[in-house]
Amino acid sequence: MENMEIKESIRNYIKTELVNNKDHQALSDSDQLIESGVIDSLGIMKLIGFLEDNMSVQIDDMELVPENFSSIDAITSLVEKKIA
Amino acid sequence: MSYVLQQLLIDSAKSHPAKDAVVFGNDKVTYGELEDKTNRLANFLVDNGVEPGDRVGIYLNKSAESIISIFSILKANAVYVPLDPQAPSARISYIIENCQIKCLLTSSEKANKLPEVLAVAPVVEMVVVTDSRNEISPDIDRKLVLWEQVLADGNAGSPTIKSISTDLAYILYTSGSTGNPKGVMISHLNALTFINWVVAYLKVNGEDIFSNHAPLHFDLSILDIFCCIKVGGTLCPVPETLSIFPSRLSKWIQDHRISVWYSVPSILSMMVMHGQLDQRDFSNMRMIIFAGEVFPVKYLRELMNLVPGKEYINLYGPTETNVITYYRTRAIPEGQSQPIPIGKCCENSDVFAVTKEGKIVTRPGEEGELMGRGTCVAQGYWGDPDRTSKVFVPNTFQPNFQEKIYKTGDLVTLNEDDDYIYVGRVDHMIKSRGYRIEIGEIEAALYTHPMISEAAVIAIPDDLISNRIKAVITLKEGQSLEAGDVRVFCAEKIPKYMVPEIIEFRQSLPKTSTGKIDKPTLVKESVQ
Repeated sequence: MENMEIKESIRNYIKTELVNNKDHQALSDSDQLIESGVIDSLGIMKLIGFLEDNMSVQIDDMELVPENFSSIDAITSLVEKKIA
Repeated sequence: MSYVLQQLLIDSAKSHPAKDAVVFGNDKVTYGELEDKTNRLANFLVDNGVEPGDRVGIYLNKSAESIISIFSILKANAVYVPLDPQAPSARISYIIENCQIKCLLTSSEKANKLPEVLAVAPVVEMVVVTDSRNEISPDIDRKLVLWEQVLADGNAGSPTIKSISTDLAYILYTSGSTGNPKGVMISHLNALTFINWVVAYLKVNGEDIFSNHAPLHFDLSILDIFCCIKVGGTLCPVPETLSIFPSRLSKWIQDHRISVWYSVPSILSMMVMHGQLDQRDFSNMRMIIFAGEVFPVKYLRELMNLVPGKEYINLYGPTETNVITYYRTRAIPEGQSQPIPIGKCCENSDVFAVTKEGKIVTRPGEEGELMGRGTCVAQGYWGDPDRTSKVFVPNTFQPNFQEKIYKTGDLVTLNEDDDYIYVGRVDHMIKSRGYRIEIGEIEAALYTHPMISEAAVIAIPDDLISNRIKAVITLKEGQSLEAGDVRVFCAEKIPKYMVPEIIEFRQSLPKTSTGKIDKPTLVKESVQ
């Protein structure tokens, strides 16, 4: 999967599965996902399931930190780092 | 003698003014400061028209200010109404109008959501803003007051206590089956019945450091806040976003040296799975308390192995009775899959279960609806005598004097040790992540969508969060809709924890012979 594809696939998943506020429907790369409530405690588990099933990565408990999930950019770079 | 909740603070501030009462991030508030600030704010509220018994809203995220707000409102002899800071503005407006909130305490961040809320909540006259971190929207067309101004200018004298123990202390809104939330009215006596039991029975004390994980509109917060302040302990509210990251949360518990933890089980299960608990030092922890939903035994057993030598206590009770039974968890043998009991009634509260035939459950195997009685039983639902009279009913088992009992709607049975075991519900209410959810409220929200023809909401049992919410929908002819659109639509009407996680579109829904939507079939098909 190309880097752009990874990013778009993550964006698409978050938009269809996690966003439920009309203010967040246009998700930019740097939009805050945690403060805005897009990712909550249930959402993070769904998102990890998605990344593990679709991107062939294993997210360790140590990597489950706000820095890695704060935006689409942050999640993409976590996945890229793991694939590389 | 403490007969109203504000006295718990007044007494503790007298005995140890220099001790930390609330620690939140870099904010530390001592008992002396908490007493001073709450006096000033209470006097301000009274001087600005808040009368005894008036409802005052708290629209704040977790913070030291949210705790200060609670005691300020109580000291003004008023009733505090915590508003879910994540709830859609339509729901906030509904609650404000429902219980006629004239004054709101909020933060500069939340204040920016207020123009939308206030547009349909004309009753609000005054807004007090706790900070000036963000610029405040000029569109708030009500009297606007800055908290720092009140604290600088206000009168620090002790306000006169006018409330008595049977007056209302707070109103907590929970999901209602007809599409709107209902406000459970709790008196000072109701709350103190539970608080006094916790302090006496669980022996919490002034050395304890209490977490406050539950949001203020969730009744688990009552133990954290008021038991802590009563014994002169230190209260550490947990920042909301921390719960998303289990290992950060476990580190926070370690770093804050929490000794009394209280939350819904799903948060503890998340920490068991992803919280790196084997690397944490929980030596200061004495007690892990949980309530709100059934704790899956496999996670509870693992938690007890990972964090050994602590007391594990299961509390049970709907908001309408606060907590009414408890169970001290013993070691859970490998292979046991039955949930632990909800246990026996707390002292000075009583429970009994009534079978379909109207007999009291006395033996294992018999099943009945649990009834609660005592001074823990709430005063009913705000402004809703009809729904109140359906579940707050006269005790016909005791004809000698008038007594009101609460029908919990929970089905229970007894085990060999006379502990009650939770079996299920008599109605359509479900639990998810500890939240009470009326299926009817979600369906009512879905049916307001102009493109939806039929909607059935079902609960899919889940190990971690009790239930996942699924909606099965048919659309009107020629219409098309995405799952994301449905979620966004719902989120404008109901809180996020009620928004269906799974949405399925069908051409038609299965029906029973009487023409009703066949939900058991939908559930069966969904769990296959």
